[in-house]
Amino acid sequence: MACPLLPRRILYYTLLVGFGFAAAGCSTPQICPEQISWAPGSERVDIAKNDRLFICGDPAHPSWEKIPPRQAASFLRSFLESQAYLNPVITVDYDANKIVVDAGRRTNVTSIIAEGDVPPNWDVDPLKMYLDKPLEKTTLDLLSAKSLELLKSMGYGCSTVSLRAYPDGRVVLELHAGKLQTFPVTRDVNPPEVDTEILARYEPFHRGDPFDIRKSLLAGRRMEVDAVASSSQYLPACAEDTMVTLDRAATFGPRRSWELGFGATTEEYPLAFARWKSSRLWSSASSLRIELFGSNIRQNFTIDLKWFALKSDRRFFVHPGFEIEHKNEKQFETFQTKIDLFAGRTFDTGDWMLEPEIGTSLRRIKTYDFAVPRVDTLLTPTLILKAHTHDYELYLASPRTGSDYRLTYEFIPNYQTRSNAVHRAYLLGTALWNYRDYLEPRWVLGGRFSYGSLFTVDGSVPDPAFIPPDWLFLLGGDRDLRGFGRNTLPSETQGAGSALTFGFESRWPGLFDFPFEPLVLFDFGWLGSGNGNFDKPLYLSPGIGARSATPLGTIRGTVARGLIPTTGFTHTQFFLSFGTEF
Amino acid sequence: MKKRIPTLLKIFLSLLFGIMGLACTLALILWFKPQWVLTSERASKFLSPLKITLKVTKPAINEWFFDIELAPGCYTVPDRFASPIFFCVQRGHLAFTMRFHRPTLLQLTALNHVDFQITTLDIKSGPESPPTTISTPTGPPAWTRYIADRFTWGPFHLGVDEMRIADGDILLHARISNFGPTPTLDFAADAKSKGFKVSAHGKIEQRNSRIEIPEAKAVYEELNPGPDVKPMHITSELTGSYDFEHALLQLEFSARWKNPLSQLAFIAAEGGRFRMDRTGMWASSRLKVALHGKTPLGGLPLMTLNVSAELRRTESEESPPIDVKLDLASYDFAGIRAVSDLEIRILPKENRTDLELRRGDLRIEVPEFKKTVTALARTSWSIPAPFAVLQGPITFHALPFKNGENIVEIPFVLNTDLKSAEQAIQLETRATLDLSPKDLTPVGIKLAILLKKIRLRIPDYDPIAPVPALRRDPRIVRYSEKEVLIVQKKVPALPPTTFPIEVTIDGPPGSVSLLNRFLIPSIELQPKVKFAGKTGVMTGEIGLSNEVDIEYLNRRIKLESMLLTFTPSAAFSAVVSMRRGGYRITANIKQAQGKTRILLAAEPPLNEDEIISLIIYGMPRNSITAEQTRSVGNAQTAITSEAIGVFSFLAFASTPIESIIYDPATQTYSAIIRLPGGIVASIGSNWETENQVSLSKALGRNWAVSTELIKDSEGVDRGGTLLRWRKSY
Repeated sequence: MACPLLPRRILYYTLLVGFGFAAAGCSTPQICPEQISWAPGSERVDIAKNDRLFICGDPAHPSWEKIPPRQAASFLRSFLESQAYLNPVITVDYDANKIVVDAGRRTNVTSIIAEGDVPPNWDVDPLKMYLDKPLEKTTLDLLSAKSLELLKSMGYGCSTVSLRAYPDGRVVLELHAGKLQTFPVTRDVNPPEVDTEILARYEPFHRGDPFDIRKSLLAGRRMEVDAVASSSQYLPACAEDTMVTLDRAATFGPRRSWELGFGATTEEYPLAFARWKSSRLWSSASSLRIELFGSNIRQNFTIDLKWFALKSDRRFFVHPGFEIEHKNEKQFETFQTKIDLFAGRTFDTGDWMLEPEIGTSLRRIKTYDFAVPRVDTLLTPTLILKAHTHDYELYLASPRTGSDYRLTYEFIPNYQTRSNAVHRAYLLGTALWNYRDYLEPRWVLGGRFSYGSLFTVDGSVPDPAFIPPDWLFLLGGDRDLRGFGRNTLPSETQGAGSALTFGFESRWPGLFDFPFEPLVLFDFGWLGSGNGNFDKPLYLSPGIGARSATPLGTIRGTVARGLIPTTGFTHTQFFLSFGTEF
Repeated sequence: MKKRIPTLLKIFLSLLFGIMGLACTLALILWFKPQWVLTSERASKFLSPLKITLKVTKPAINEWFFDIELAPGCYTVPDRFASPIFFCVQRGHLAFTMRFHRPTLLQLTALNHVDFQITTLDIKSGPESPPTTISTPTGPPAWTRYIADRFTWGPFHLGVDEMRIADGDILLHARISNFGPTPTLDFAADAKSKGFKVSAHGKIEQRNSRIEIPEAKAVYEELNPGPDVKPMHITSELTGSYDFEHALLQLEFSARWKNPLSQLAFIAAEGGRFRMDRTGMWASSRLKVALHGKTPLGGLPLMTLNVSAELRRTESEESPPIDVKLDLASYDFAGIRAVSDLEIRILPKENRTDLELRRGDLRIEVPEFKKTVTALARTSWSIPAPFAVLQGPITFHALPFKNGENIVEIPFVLNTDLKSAEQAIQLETRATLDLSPKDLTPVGIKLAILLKKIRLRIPDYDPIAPVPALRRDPRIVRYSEKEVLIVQKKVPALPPTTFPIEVTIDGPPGSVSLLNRFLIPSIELQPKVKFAGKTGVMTGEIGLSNEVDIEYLNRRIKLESMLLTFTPSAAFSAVVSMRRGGYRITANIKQAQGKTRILLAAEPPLNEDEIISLIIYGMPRNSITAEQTRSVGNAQTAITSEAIGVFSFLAFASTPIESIIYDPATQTYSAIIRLPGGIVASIGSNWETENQVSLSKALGRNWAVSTELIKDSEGVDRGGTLLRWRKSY
C-alpha cells in the first residue's frame, strides 16, 4: 500500500530512534468515506490537512461543512496533480452524491532538458538524481532551485531559471544564464562589529576572481564555525546582467559562551567537557578557549589562544597554548604538561586553502610504564601544514568531494634523546569523488592514506626508551584499519617506528528512499621499525557497513574482517561511530 | 472664293454620308449576318486563353441565337479583374437568345441550354473586396419582373466536381441542374474544410409569376473541435415563394443549432416566418434554448422565447420604425423564474437609431436562493461552498432605455440580499448594455457593483500545514494546452476587443468582511476598484477598514493598516505592529513586482537585528543563544534579499520560531517552529509555496544534540555526537 505523503524519512527515524510521537504510521488513507472513496485497485494517497478542509469540508463552520461533489472533485483533482497524479479518473455520481477516485499512475521525471540561454559548459548530469522522482511540486521547486545554484556555481551569478513540465515526465529548464561574472566589491549590509579585513580573512575569493556562489557560502560558514559572526550570508546584487556588488550580511551574537557537553566519539566514550570560549577577543577578533575535557582514554585541561596579531595581515596568527593531559592507552600511560607557541597563516589560492604553522612545544612527559616513572622534558620544533580543497571544506558535514591533507613534522634534538636526533613525520590524506557531481550524491568513492615514520640522521632505529611513547605509531580502529581493534597493532607493548595505511570506501547515498547508505571498504596497512622501512606482514581489512544521517548526526557502522595473510590471523571487528565521516 | 466653300461642304458631306453608309452597312451586316463578324477566332482571341467555338444564328428578325462551346481542357484565367482562377472543363456548352427590345436595345430573353461540367476549379486568394452594404429592400428588384415577364429557361446543368477556394482550405462539390419541362433548378453543394463541413440542397421553381422554393436544406457540422468539446451542429430548412405581381416574399424557416456553447445543448428556431411586401416586413420565430446538465428531476427544462419583429412603411420620408416583441411566458427552473413581455421599438433615423421600451419588462428572479441551492445540489451546476448556505432573494430586471446622443443604453439592475448565520452577500449591481446609435450594435457593458455587505468565512486553515493545492500548477503543461498553443501560433493576434466590459466595484468602509479563527475580530475591507475590459487594466484600491489582531500559538500581532492598490500594477502595503519585551515594534511592508520590502522600527529605537530578535524570540539579542543569533541573521538576510513575502513575515511574527536557515544559493529559507508539547515542525523552503514537514524532538532552551569535531590524541579532528548545553553572553 503506497503512502506517498508520509515522509518515509520520519518512519525510518521512528523505527531507528523510537520517537513515539512520530508514529503517525502509514495506515490506509481514507479521504472522506461518506462522500469520496477510492476506486478498486487505485493507489491510495493521503490527503494533506488543509486540502482535506476543501475536499471534505470543515465541520467547525456550517458554510464549509458540506462541499458539493463537483467542487470537491475539482479540489481533489488539483491536489492529486500536485502530488504527481496527473491523470486521475474522478467519477461523480450526482444522484448518489458520491465520488469515486482512481488516482492513476504517478508520473515521474523522465528527462531533464535545458533550453534558452544555455552556457556552453552546462552539464545536466548533477541534476539527474531527480530522474524517476515524482513530477510533483516539491521536485519542480528543487529542480528550479538547484539549477540556479548550478549556474551560480559556474560563474553565472546573475542568472535566472524558469521551468515547465509535461505529463510524459519531461522537465524543460528555461535558462537565462547571462554572462560570466567576477567577484565584485563586497559591501556590508549591517555595520560590522569587527574590522572588515577580519571578515575578509575568511573569504576564499578576491575581487576580480571568477564568481562561484559556493565560495561565498564557504566564507559565511567559516565565520560561523569560528564564531566571529553568528551568521553571514553573501547576496549578489545585479543590475543589467552585471554583478555590481556582493552584499555581506553578517550578524554578530554574543562573543563569549559557556558550554557543557556529554557524548561519544568512536574512540572515546563516554566523554564530557566544560568549555569557556571568547570568539572576538580584542579588536583583531582573536579567539581564546579554556577547556576541561575527560574521556575513558584521556583527560586534559587546555588554554588555547589564536591571536591575529598583525593589523596589516589579518590572516597571520600567533598560536600559543597550554595543556595538562593525562592519557591512558593500552600500551602506555602518560601525564604531560605542554606549552606551545606557533605562528601561522592561512592562504586561499585557486580552489585550495593552505594553512602552514610553525612553532615549538615545550613538554614535560611523565610515563608510568616503567617501575620508576620516567620523566622527559622535551623542546620539539614542529611544522604543521594543512591543505584542503574548498569543496571538501564546504561539504565537511557530509563529505562527498575534494581532498584534505595534513602533514605534521616534529623534531627532538639529539641532546634531548641522549642519542641521535629523532624526526617524526606524519602525513594524512583523504580524497573523495562524487560520481557525476550529483547535487545529492548517488555514489561516493573515497580513498585515504596515512604515512608516519620516525627518522634518524644515520638511519638507526630510534630507541623507544628516549622518545615519548605517543610518538610511536599504533594502527587499528575506525580511523585506519577497520578490521582490527583500536590501536591493537602492533601487538607489542609499544608502537612501531613507521606505519603506512591505505583505505578505500565506496558509498551509495540515495539508494533507498530513507537515509540509509550502504558501503563497502578495504583497508591495507604495514608497520615498520622507522626510517621509512616497513616489514611484513601486510594487514588487510575488507568489510561492509552503512551510514545514516539522522537529526542527531551521522551514524556509521562497519563490520570488517582483520586479516594477516602471513600468519593466517583473522578477526572480526565492529565499529559504530557517531559523527565520524570518512 | 464663293465657289470653293460649297465644294468643301460637298466633300465633307460626302465623307459624312460615306461613313454613315459604311456604319449602316456594318450594322445591317451585324443585324442580318452577325456570323460574318462574330467568328470563333475573334471570340477566342478576345476571351484568350479560353478556346471557344461560336455560332450565331438569327431565328427571327429581332432575335439572335448564340451557341458557344468551350473546348475541353484546363485554363488559367489571370487576375485581370478578380482572383486568378484555374479550372479544367470536361464539357461546356452555353446557348442563349437575345432580342431587340426597347428601350434597352438588346436583352437576354432565354437561356436555351446551359451544360457545364467542370472537373477542377481552383480560386486563388485575391485582394479583399470592400464589404458590401445591404440596404433595406423597398420593393421587388427590376430583374425579377423581367424574369417573370419575358425570360425562358432551357435545359440547365452546371456541375463542379472539385472546387478549391482559399488556397484549398475549402473543397466544394456543387451541381445545379434543370432538365424537366418546368423551369426548375435543383441544386446540391458540399463543402469541406479542416474545421467544418457544409452541405446544402434544394429546389427553385418558377411558376408563372412566382418563384418558389419548395424545399431547401442546409447542414453545418464542426469538425475536430478539440478534446472534451462537443462538436457544433446546425441544421436548417427553408421554404418560401416570391410573387412578382404583388412583390410578396414569404419564407418559412426552422433551424437547430446544437452545442453552440459548452453550457448550452441547443438553440432551435421553430415556426419561423418572414413576410415582405410593399407595405413592410414582418418576421417571427419561436426560439428554444436547452441547457446541458441534469437535475434530480431530470433534464433542465427548455427555455421558449417568442420573438417577433415588424416594419411598416409610412408615407412620410422618415425611415419606418421596427417593433420587436420578446415574449417569454414563464421559465421556472431550480427556483429561478424568468418572465418577459418586452415590446421594443427601433426607430431608424437619418444618422442614428433610437431604441424605445414601449411596454413590458424582463425580469429574472430567485425568490429564495436556498431553493436554487437545493435544486442544483446534485448537478454539475451546484453552488459551491461557502455560498451554498446563503438564503434570500436575487432579482434582475430591465429598466427603460435611454437614447443618448452618442449611445443607446439598456439598463438592468441586479440585487442580492443573501444571508446565513455568519455570512452575507448584499449587493446592488447596475448594469448597462451600451449600443451604438448608428446601427444598434453592442459597444460595451458597464457594471457598477455596490457592495453593501459581503461577509464570508475562510475555513480553519492551519498555517504550518502544507498549503492546499486549490489550483493547478501552471508549470505543468497539459497536452491540450500545448495543442492550443500550437494553433495560436498560426492564428494572428486577435485585435483588441470591440465589446469591452467596464466593472466598477465600490463599497463603504467595512463592506467586505473575512472571518477566520486567527483574525480577531475579522478583516474588514473597503474596495474601490475599476476594471476596464478594453485594456484589461484594473485600477483602484482595497483598503483595510479596521485594526485586526492575528493570533496564533499564543502570539499576537496587530494589522494596523493594509492597502492593495492597482495603478495598474498591483502593489501591497501594510503596517503591522506588535509588543515584544517592552518594545512596540512596527513593520512597514511594501510588496510590488514580486519583491517585498520590510522596514522595521521600534519604540524606543533599536537596531534592525535587535528588532528581529524581539520579533522571533521575544528577547533582545543579548539574551538569546548563539544559535538563535544565527537565526536572527538568517532572517535578516532573507528580509534583505527580499525573499520573505508578506505571509512569511506574518508567520514569522505570529509563530514561535526555533530557528531559521537561509540558503543564498537557492534563495530559499526554512524555519523550525516550536509547537505546544515540545514538538518541532520544520517548514522547508518558504511559507509562500512550500509544504514539506518533518518532525524532531525539541530539547529545551540552551540544550541541543549536535555533531562536533573533537580533536583526538593526534590532534586530528574527529566527529562526535554530543548532548550539549550552551550559554552565550
